[in-house]
Amino acid sequence: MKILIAEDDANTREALREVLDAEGFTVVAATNGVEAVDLFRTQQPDFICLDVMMPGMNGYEVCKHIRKVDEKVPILFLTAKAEEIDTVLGLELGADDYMTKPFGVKEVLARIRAILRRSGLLKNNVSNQTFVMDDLNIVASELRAYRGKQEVQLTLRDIKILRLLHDRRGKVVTRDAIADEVWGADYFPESRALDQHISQLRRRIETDPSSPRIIRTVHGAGYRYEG
Amino acid sequence: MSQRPSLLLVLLVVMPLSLLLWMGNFLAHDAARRTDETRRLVQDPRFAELDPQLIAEVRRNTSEFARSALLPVYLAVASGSVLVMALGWLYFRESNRAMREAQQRVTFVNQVSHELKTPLTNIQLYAEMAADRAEKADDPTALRYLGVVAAETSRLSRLINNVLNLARKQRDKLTVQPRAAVLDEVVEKATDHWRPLLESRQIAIEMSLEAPHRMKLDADAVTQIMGNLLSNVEKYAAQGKWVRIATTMSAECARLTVEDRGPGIAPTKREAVFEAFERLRSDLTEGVSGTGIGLTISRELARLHGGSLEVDVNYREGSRFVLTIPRSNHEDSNR
Repeated sequence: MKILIAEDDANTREALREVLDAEGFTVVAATNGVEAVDLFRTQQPDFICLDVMMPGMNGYEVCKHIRKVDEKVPILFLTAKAEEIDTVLGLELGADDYMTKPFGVKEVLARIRAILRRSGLLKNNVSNQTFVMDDLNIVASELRAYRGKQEVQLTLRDIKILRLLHDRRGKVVTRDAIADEVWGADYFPESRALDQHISQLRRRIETDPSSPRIIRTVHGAGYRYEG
Repeated sequence: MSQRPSLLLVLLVVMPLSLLLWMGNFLAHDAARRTDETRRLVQDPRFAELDPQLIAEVRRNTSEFARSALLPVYLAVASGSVLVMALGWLYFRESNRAMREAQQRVTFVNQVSHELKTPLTNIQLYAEMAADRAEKADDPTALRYLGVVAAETSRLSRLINNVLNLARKQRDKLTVQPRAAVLDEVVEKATDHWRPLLESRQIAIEMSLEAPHRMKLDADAVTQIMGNLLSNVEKYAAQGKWVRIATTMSAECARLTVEDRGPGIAPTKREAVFEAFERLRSDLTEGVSGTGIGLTISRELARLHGGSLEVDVNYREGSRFVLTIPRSNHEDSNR
């Protein structure tokens, strides 16, 4: 799933890129409004995060341009302007939600997930919507898993890893296979991103992360789900 | 321009001008009446029996009187009017300049506050990202440091929002945007933001959340109120080492109470603490930093919800603030 970020502040833009990338989204970034409109035409993103105050063409104008040709792509405004009139204007122009600065990682991700769930986009982008691993019921279209009443938030990347292990249950899935299937060309073999990601995922989904039942390590080979 | 200078302008320019015109009119009328009376006397048949030379002299003097008596009156009225208008214009210009300068100061504060939001966002984003890494690397010290960075960012964010909200209140532009939300979730999230800072002051947090149903409220506004109340606990009641945050819900309203075991608020100060900048005059706050607008803004946000923010007069162990939000427009759910 591809997300377009239009933000003129380099630090905010790069932070969002890193956070969304870690969640498993493909990120394209624009530094101003004109570039955002160009990237929208050429990259056809599934979701847009739009800053309001940008040089050249502001976020409202970009939103108007996009809505002329696409009424459905979800748009989330990220801005320092918090007056009621700004919010109303943003929503009137067809944005799906409006987030005022300052915001944190969890907050922006929660807002993006909520819009994706509402828009039904996840259903189109994630195959086999519900599957069970051990006592964990994974609902891919909601980016959530349930163990009884306990709810676990998942990322697109988590879902892809679990799906891969689930589909090859009983077999060893090598680190290279996971890297290829889940990270694709973005993965650098020497990085420890994959192991760290698995370790963090275990902490969230395993009842006892020190003795995992869903993602088991096969030393020197990779990981396996016994099924 | 606001109402007050316009009213003053009316009082200082229009009223004296009207009075001057009325006086001028009165004097001119009086002079004209006397001239007409003299003319009428001169035209009397009995007057014609007098010496023609004397008659001509009287007629000439009457006409000259009419001219010479009216001219100074008109001149006095005209110069008076010009003077009053000049004074009015000077006053108008001065008050306009003062207003413009005040407006510029407000705009500047607004601009600065907005400009602070982007760096603040970056601090928050990168602190969270670093905390994520510290968690992966199992580094509790770095996590603790980053927790403080996040809490201080929240504090700064709350202060900026207070300043912006005060400016909005002064322009009658402060509003809330209630949406369906769960009070308990908002309170829990706000408390989580404050937890590292309160715990660093050894303040134990006790919670009792019993408002689990959806209702209409502005989550940002309630977070702002919570932040201001917890900030006060941290600043003024840290020696009590305890804060209790509780919510309750009835058919009519939802209630949030924040109570501490600090020195409490004197009965005479219970309303004064809600006045803007009150803390600046208070000896209670000596040596404690703050802007003195947090409770003012908090009460206004409560009122904009149709609710209230009060100090509980019956609580004796410290201070207890009670936020009430009506459920008149609530959205019940089956949660």
